[in-house]
Amino acid sequence: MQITSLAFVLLTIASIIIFYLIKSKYRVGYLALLSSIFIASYSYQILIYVLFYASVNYFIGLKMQVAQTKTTFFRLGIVFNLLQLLLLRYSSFAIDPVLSIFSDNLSISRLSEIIVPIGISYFTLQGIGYLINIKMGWEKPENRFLPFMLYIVFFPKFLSGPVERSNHFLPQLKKDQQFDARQVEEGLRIALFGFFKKIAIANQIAPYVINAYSDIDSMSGNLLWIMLLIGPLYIYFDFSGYTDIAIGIARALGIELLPNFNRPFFSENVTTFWKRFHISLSSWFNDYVFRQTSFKYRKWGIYASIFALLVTWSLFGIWHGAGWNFMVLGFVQALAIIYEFTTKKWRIKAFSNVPERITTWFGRICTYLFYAGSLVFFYSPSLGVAFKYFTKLADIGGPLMLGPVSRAPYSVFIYIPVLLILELLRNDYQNTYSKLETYWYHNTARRQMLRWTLYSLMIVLVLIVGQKGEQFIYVNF
Amino acid sequence: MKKFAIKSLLFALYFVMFFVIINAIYLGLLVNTDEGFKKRLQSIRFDNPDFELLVFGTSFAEYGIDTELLTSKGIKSFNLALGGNSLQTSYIQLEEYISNYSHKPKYVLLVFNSYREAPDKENVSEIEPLVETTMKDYKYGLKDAPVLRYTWLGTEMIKKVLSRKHREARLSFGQVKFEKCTPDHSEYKNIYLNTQAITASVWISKMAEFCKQEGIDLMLIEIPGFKETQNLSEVGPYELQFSNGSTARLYNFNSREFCKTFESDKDWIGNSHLNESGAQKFTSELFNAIKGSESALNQTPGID
Repeated sequence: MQITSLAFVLLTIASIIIFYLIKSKYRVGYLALLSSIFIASYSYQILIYVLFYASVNYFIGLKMQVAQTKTTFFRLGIVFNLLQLLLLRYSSFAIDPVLSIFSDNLSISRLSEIIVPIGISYFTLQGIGYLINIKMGWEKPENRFLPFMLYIVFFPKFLSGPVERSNHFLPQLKKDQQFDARQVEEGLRIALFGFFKKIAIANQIAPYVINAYSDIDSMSGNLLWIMLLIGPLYIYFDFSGYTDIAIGIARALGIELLPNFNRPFFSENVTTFWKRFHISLSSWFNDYVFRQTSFKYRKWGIYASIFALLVTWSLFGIWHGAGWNFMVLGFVQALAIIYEFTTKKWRIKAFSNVPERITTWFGRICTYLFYAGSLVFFYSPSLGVAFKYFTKLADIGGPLMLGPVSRAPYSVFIYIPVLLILELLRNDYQNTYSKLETYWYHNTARRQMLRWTLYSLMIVLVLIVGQKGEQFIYVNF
Repeated sequence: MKKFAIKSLLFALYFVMFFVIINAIYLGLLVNTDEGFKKRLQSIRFDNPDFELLVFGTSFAEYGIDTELLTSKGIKSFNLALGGNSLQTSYIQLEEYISNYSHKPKYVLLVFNSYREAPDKENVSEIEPLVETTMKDYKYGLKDAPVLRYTWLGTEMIKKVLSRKHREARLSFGQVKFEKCTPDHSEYKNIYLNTQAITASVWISKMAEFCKQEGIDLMLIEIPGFKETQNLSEVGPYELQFSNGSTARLYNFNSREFCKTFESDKDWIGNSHLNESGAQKFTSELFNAIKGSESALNQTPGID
């Protein structure tokens, strides 16, 4: 079931109503059932597989309660998680090339044709995170299966995250949730903004960005530059749109999901950017890979951090997909962060006489351009295509227009600046933003009508452009 | 919870009201400002029309055939072409016109630019929304709300708000007269007219059959376009034979030789569409072809 389909929206609203009508002790079971139906709408095989996956991790978690077998079961759990990910997601990249040495007919990647690994990269991280939390003593194992199953399968976040933490998610299920009108209203509002970002903005840009990478030869240098600059906006509105939908629906159901975005394009350097973009994933890698690795090799001094950064970001890159291009995507992020880390003092000294506003905006522009450039490795189907893209960028010329006005998505050039200006206000002019917020949410009939008019307009715009659907880009993982 | 339910219900009502108002305003604006909309409504409400010639096709024909000029030269004409029309829609429009009005036209011009426009696909129904939603006995649904169904006309409306030239475009005998000029910077390609693609078209052959039954002379017009669309074939006419036994005459006015009539910086709106001056030049030549065909028909026994 497509998350942006009208059927999904209507069923979700009905599900929220039923959620608050049933007794609170049945709610976890109800959400687990809903999530299972949602996953089954994609494939029964993946549902069966995810239930098996959840059962194994649940069982290992319970076994880790016993001190003597804790490490053994922890290792077993990590091996299981990594192995299933390797088999279902990376076999074409890591296993099949080795098997092809022995025989042309051997292929593990066919397995992923039977069990379509939807959401596997997300739930695997959640499974590993749960086991590490227990091993480190940050959390006790969950004794009941249903809450643990819900942690893995919860439908708003199943396809594309946010990557939840068990010690954040599970305690919420233990609370006796009362109906909170403000929470539900806020959740629905966040979800509406998510739908708007995804359908009215990202979906309109999608065909252009996707076409640029599927047929580089027919694209002019100018158009490739435009696509390069639009690339970050596309991924941001697509993915943050999905995240808003997930967070909004979860909040309406009384569950807080981890945030994923925090005005990333106003980051002044790459290090900060990754604390504000796909936060749940980058913080997962930071906590479970970077910190553990740098701690383990702490005797190396600064080189431990550099080594940990290279490992973390290479894994971060490869998490996105089975290909060298993704590895490079992560590696260049590591290089940028290492550069920022090692030159920080020098840079502060060198730019000490430059007004802060200039350095801030210079940093923001450089960060955006760096991310836009690195995204070429993300969008390209292979390293070869990525390098070809960079080569063609030098060939400046050709048409600048995206196409005939009646067909090109020029409306997004209104929506994007409006949303970015709001983010800028929230980021740089917090007083103005909070005044605006107070004005906007003031509880008078006139303001309410103003709010309802905007929400109605957003729904209409989503309905107008929503007739042609595009898949979420992060569903690929 | 009760309070929230009431608030939700009120919002739902507010949204419905908002949706209705938005649609009503949009429809009102379209009816009064959009040439295609005005023309469509006009064409289903004619009062005993006596046109001798009807033009069908897409925006190429809508801009490019000067029916006012043809009328002034003695052939009373009306341009029924609509932007984005499919061949199926043209067929429906013709059938509808013949069933609605007693006076049958003598000529039907089906205009296309086969380089730009893809031939129709069998078993795929593509009816232009303006025509579909104004057809007799059409059953309306929520999907037909004007803001959802006529989305592209909103862009046309914005163009009018932003550009004087678009605002000045006017409707005359169904033709949209547009003064805007966009030079043709495209390059010639060595292509030839593919008549097989035309004879393979299901809807053109249906149209030919229908015209044969009704005793109407069907002329297929390959309309001039930008250099990149022009072909090296002769103007013709070509006598085309369809699989259902019907025939039609094809005039290849997109022949490179013929298109030398047009000035690349004066006669085009853009994207292979003729502007007002280009349409006048083309229609004068078209008139001669019609007259030539008339005399040829008169001299050919058994065809009339």
